[in-house]
Amino acid sequence: MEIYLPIADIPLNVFFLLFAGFFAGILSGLFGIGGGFIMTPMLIFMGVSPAIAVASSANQIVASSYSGFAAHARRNNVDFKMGNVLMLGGFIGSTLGVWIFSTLQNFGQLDLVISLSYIIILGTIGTSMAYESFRAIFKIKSKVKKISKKDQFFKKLPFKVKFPKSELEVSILVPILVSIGAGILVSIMGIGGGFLMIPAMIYILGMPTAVVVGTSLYQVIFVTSNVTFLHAYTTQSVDIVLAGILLASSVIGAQFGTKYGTLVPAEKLRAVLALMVLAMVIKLILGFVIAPDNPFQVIAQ
Amino acid sequence: MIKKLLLLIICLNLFTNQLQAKPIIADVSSNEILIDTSFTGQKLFLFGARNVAGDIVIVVRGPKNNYIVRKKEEFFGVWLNRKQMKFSDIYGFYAIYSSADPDKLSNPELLRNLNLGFNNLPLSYKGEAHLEDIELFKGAILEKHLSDALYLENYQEIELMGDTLFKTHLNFTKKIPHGSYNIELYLIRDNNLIATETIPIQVRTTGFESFVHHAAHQHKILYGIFCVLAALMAGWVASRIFWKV
Repeated sequence: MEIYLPIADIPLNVFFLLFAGFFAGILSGLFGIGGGFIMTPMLIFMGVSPAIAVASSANQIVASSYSGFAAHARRNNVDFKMGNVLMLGGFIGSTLGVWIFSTLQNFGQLDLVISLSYIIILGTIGTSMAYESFRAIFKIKSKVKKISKKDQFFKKLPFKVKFPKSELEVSILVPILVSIGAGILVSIMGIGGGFLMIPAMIYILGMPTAVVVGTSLYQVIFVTSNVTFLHAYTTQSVDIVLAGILLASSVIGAQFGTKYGTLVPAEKLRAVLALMVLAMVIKLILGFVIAPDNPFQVIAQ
Repeated sequence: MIKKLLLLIICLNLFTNQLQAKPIIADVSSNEILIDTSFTGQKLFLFGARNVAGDIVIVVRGPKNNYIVRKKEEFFGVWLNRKQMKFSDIYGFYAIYSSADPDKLSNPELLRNLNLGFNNLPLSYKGEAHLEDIELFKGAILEKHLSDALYLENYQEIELMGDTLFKTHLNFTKKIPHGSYNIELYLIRDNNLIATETIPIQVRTTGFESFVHHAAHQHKILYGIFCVLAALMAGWVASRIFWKV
């Protein structure tokens, strides 16, 4: 059964779309990540233009991050003060990102940058996840983390602010810079940015893990809202029908993921996800080095 | 049944009014095609009459589009977009039908002037040109439309009934762009154009699709705000349903 998408201006098989959303939802239920980094490439493979895939995924993530945030807020696991600071950086970063996006589109190098971003980021995440889960499965003890020189550098920065909920006192520049970087990637890659923000909050900011996910979701709501609005305004590339289908199926997928996630050992799940991520990286790399069947790309304006 | 009735009505109409006035005359079963969520293509029935002997060619032209065509080339072992050309006023849909074998329509100049056939489509570019690859670039545009079934060739698909009447089905495929279309009829005899006739039709999106498309392009700010609010609302509903307090 095909459905005509009003903004993408193409008919697509509704079951493929439901599957993509469901699959991304399962991942988010299992691992607490948004699943945007799986969804956006799947949409592009299905023939949705990168601009519409990115913008509509962002719209979908507004909804999924809100429902995740609501659960964490009820358990009082959100550092709103830190969230607001991250939000500020996220706004700057994502606005910058939308501008970079449209500039790259004009130069014809958008696809290249999207693919490269995915290769670099998924490659890093996939490798480190594979490494971690390998160690966990074979019970190799990790070394005690030492305070590195980098941490010392961050501690010396001015404009220190207290974040009582996170029991932290850091320079306000650190969270802002981190969230600007993540915000740019949100605009370009059509992801929520949680899988960047969460490690950054733990390892760079040193926030307690209990509040990290809720706080990240809190800021993701605002950043993806901003991205959705800016894409709707500047490039008219938000397809609300597409976002709606993905949303409905990902919510259901997330339930399955949460329910059955506990049946399988976490480290094995993580190993599977790591392999999937690395497989995607390899596919993207092959796209660069293998001569394309059709070297031409025709884009309607 | 409906088709026969239609045929009868068209016949009556043709014979009573206009047959003597024009060398070729035709009408279609509908002047409007509506695209909705379940649209998978539509056929229009065309019926007509000619007053003068000759071959009939029908061309359906869709709204014009501008395109950017990019070519990937190898660059230090990786394939990247290296060349780009802009093409303007390219038909987003083009279908040709004829009563005769295409070889019989053998006046190249006439065919070229009337843009009849894929080889005679105007593919004009603007700005930066890569003349060494120009034929490949043009080929890519043709190829794109052919693979999306937006350019159709149906020679010998017009059925002649006696000396006067003719009929055919015009095929409008799944991915047709919306906008104004022209159905052009050409009566050609001995390599000369005898008469032409044009029937305008509209392809419109309808219902919800049309509403969304209009909203997104005409009310950008409201649409953007709506998308965000709708998503927040959906997230709230989902959290209420699944994470019961």
